[in-house]
Amino acid sequence: MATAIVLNLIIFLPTLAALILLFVPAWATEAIRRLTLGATLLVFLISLRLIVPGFGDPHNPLEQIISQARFVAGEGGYQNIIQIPWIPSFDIFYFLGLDGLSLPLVLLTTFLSVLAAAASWSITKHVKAYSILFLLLETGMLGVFTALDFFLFYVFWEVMLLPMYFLIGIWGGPRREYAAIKFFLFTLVGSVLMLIALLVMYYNSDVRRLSEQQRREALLHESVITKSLAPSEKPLHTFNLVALAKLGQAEDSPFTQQGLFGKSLAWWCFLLLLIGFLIKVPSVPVHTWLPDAHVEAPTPISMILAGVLLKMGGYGILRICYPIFPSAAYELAWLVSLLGLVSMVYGAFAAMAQKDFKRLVAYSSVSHMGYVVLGIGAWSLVPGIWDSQYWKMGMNGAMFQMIAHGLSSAGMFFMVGVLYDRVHHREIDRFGGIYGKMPAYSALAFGLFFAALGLPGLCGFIGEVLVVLASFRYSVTIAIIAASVMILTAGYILWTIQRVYLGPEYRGPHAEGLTPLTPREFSIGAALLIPAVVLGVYPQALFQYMAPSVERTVDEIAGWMRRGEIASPNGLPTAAHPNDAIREGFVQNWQPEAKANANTNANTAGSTEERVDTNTEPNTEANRKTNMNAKAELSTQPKAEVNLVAHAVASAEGG
Amino acid sequence: MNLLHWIGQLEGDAYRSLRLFAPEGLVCATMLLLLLSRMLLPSRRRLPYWLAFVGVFAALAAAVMQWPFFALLPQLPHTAVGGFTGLLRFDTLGLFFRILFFGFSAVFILFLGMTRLPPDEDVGEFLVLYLASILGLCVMASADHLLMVLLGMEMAGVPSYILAGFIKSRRASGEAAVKFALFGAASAGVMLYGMTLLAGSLGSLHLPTMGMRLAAWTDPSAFAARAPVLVLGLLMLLVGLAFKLSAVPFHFWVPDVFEGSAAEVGAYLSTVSKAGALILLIRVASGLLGADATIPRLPDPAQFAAAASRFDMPADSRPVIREGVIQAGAAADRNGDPNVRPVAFARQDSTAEHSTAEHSTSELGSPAQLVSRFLAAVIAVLAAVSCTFGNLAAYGQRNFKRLLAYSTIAHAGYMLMPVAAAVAMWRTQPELARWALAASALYVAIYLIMNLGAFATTAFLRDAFQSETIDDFAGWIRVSPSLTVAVAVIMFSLIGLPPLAGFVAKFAAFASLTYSGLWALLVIGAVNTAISLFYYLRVVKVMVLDAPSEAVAAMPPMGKGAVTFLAVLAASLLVLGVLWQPLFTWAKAAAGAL
Repeated sequence: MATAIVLNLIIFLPTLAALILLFVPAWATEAIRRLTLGATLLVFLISLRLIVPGFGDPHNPLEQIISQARFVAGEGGYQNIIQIPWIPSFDIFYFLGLDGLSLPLVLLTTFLSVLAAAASWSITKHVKAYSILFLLLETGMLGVFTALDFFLFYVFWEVMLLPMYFLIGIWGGPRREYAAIKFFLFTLVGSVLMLIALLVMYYNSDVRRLSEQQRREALLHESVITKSLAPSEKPLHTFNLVALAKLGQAEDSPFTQQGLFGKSLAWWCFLLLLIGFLIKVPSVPVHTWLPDAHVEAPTPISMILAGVLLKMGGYGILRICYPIFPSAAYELAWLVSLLGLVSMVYGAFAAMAQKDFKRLVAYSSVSHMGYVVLGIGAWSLVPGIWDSQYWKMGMNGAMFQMIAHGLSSAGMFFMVGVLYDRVHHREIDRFGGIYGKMPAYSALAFGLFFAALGLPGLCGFIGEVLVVLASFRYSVTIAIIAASVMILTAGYILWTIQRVYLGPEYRGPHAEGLTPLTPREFSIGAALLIPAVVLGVYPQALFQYMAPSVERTVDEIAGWMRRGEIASPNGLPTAAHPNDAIREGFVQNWQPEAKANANTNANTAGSTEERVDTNTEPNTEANRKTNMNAKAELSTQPKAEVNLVAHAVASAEGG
Repeated sequence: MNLLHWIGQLEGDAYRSLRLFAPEGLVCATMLLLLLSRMLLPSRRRLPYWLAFVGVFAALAAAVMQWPFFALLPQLPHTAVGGFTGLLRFDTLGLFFRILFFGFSAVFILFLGMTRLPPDEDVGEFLVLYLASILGLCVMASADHLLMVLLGMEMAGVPSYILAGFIKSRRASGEAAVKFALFGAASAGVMLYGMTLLAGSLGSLHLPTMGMRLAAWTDPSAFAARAPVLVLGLLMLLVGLAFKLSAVPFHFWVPDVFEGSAAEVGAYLSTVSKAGALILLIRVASGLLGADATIPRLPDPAQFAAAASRFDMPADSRPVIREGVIQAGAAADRNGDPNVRPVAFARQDSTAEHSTAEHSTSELGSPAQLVSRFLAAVIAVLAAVSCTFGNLAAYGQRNFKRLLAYSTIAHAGYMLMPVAAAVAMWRTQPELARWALAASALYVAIYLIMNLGAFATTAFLRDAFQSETIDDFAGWIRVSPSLTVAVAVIMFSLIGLPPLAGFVAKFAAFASLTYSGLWALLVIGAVNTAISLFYYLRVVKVMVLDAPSEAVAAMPPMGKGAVTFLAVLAASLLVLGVLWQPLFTWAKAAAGAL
């Protein structure tokens, strides 16, 4: 009960504030701004209390309620669950919960909302409408990250569409209408595809296929469990994402049945959802709305857009696509990784070519979100080796990169906005010498740009390096290209810093406007830079919440793969990876002694478990032996993947 | 059985039927009172509105009071009550639509009283015509006989031709009326011809009887010989229905009539008039496909009488039908078990399979199955074409009413989608077919609110601007913010964005397509949602984002009545979008009658 109150409060407090704002006269702009900031701040403080112990009186009933809702670190499962029947006719539940994937994003959202509300003092037109829409947007975003019912997820996903359209369309730059409709259309196409997948998933799901144990594990509502136990001819559909994942990973998954054009339903649903989410990420080739939306959106909205909205795509892929359709994900892993890689490269080159400061930052977002997609997509889990540590590392990296990018990109957009407010242009070539005029501002900007660049010690580094390391195991080519994108990133960011901040003096228009930062602006910049440094130095602060859930997700998929392997040795798709040959060769070279011992060990390694494990498809005799040995060797490594991740970070930073 | 006895039976039947027909009777009485008041109290300008409102409200109350009785019927087991010697059929689905019609009318008359479209001296006539048309729609909702189908359509149609031309001073209005009447007459003619073909090949006009005859054609060669006539008859019948539904390619009248006639008339034509056509389509399909459970399943008389007396209903209500059906029912009765029925009527609830196995088998199946597939295909094509054409054509419109006309065509397409799904699943998965019908009933209920809101907007704006061109409304939010927000909510609901009711309607409709496996239609519907974004959003964009012209900026804000009216409609869309379980439960109960 207590948890229900807290989580609902986090989501709907902004809506409540918006309703209150309706009754505030429109001329009281300062009061409206303060109320908005106060509401977002309150939401942030409540959400912060999910992870921070309280200092108040422990006997205070409010304090007790909030401390009951504390999120327990180190657990992979869902916490703070609320489940209320909503539309029983369609098996829809008002089902919310938090786990390690959603908690960091919820915190990021509430945090950035406070900063964006603080940055909204630059908005002078129709402040009341702006604040109301802004608060509704926050509710939508928080709802997306906490919903565990697919229908509810979809509703929240769409709810944040409308405020965003108006926020760009009314308060944006000169081409705001074009940008707003483009944003709306792209997202709507994505969500329409999602709607089709949602219906197909719903109709083909059947809770009765799960064992009672699984039904309880899937957190199905008590009424559903009771209903499903009664004998019935009719299937019992569900929108429960956890139950859908269990169904998708079951051996006789209902989604494996044949769909159109010889592909399974899972394949189609995965593709539809992937397109929907990739539009949001955004990934090449559906990224074109992003530069326009960013350039036209007002600064606080750009911060939210880059900081939170883009994360919904990555979150959706991780929460919905992969756990529910592992078979399709495995088959299309090459596509996901490739799109991630192309986004990284293309975004970096495009950023380098931009003349508009904001557009440059927008393309850097495309490039940085590419890491997220690549980290998720680099399916280094090879049948036979069963080493999921690197994939976990990649997924952890992707999640970390989402948070890191949320901080750094919001910071960069804010920095651009500060400059634009002063000189009213964004042309990089007409800047220069800002450092001399605004030293404090420039120092903050350096910090945030370096965080985006991925300088060790700042947050951007951790995510990027983990993703690159993890993709090394998937495909060396991809890893090499991904690593070189870091150089490109450094290139365009350093070049930008040189052109904008360094140089002798500012020669552009409105030079007189270059006044030092106001305390409000300074505190926003500092508030973004401090966590960027903290997370860069002590990533464990985030990993302790995130890693268990990421690992649970990967372990479930790995478990599905093993079961599939046992059930049908040739059941899994084989030519799924772009350069299988390279990877296979790499695996062999990577463990030369294993290769050498292959023949001698072949007979001794015949324990039943391993025989089952090594029953893989494409392998030749020699290959299989290699795999066997690799497995044998890896099993001796410590199991604690969190340590491995921390290890990798530490060694990479040290080197 | 002598003649007197027969007349006596008829008399009893008429009395029973009239009691079930009470809501319509109240509407008739209201019409008479309206005409009388025009004669006796011509100076009371507002009186007709009040009379009509009270009358319609009484009809609504009478209809709502019948609901518990009909809701109890399926448990007896008995799903419908025949009326007027089987010409009409009273059941939950019909009652659902009649309640919608009366409820809509009550709101519509309030709205008329607000805009005061008809000149004060003609209000009485306008309302009489409107109520006459509603009466026709009620007949359509209960029709169980092709004669009543035609009668209902003409009763609803002829007054609406006059309503379309009611503004006598406007040339376009007259043109619209003539065009409407010509199209209407032509399509009615085609439909009548189709009916004769059907009657000739099936030997009856009574829909359940026709369905039974159709199911009795087990000999494939005999069926093949008569199939062309049957198909032609069905197609011609569908022409008339498609005209009323404004489905492509029988939509040509829609934009011109909507543009020419007043927005109030458009509000009527695009909402309840369409709903009437939809229920009629469902009636024809359900009759022909023989999923009629009433006939052989005669209720336990004692139970029935008890239920009827509890709800003050005629205790001896019975389906009174033609001899063929009575024989079938009697045969079932003779076997001792009232639930044993001829094979052709076997309801497959208990064996409802959730696979489309029957569809994929290569054998042709029974005639009823063939007809079901044929009808489903035709309706699906109509739906797909209407939806796509409507949305594409709406894109270029500058006139708000014309835009809404094309939007109406598109929504006719969406509305037909669950019907296509239901017809496709009728023989194989009756449970899911009923579900699909519930989805279409839900769609209609929500669509009534949305489109009334949209047309009310045009009427209010016309009164304020003397213009119906969208671009003239630029920056309207500066003048009347609350009204514009309400309009925006209605437009977004028409697109189908959550958490508004329009999304719920589309969601349920698309879900039924998933059930029936009509994938192509699902994709077309989904893509159309994205297309429709443009033109609805443009209305909102012009009102909200564009800078107001000087003329707009100088305008006084909208009256409180208009704002309240639209705000209530918008708020109900929001509430229904979140809490739609009760409405859907009601729709499901309604669809349980088939």
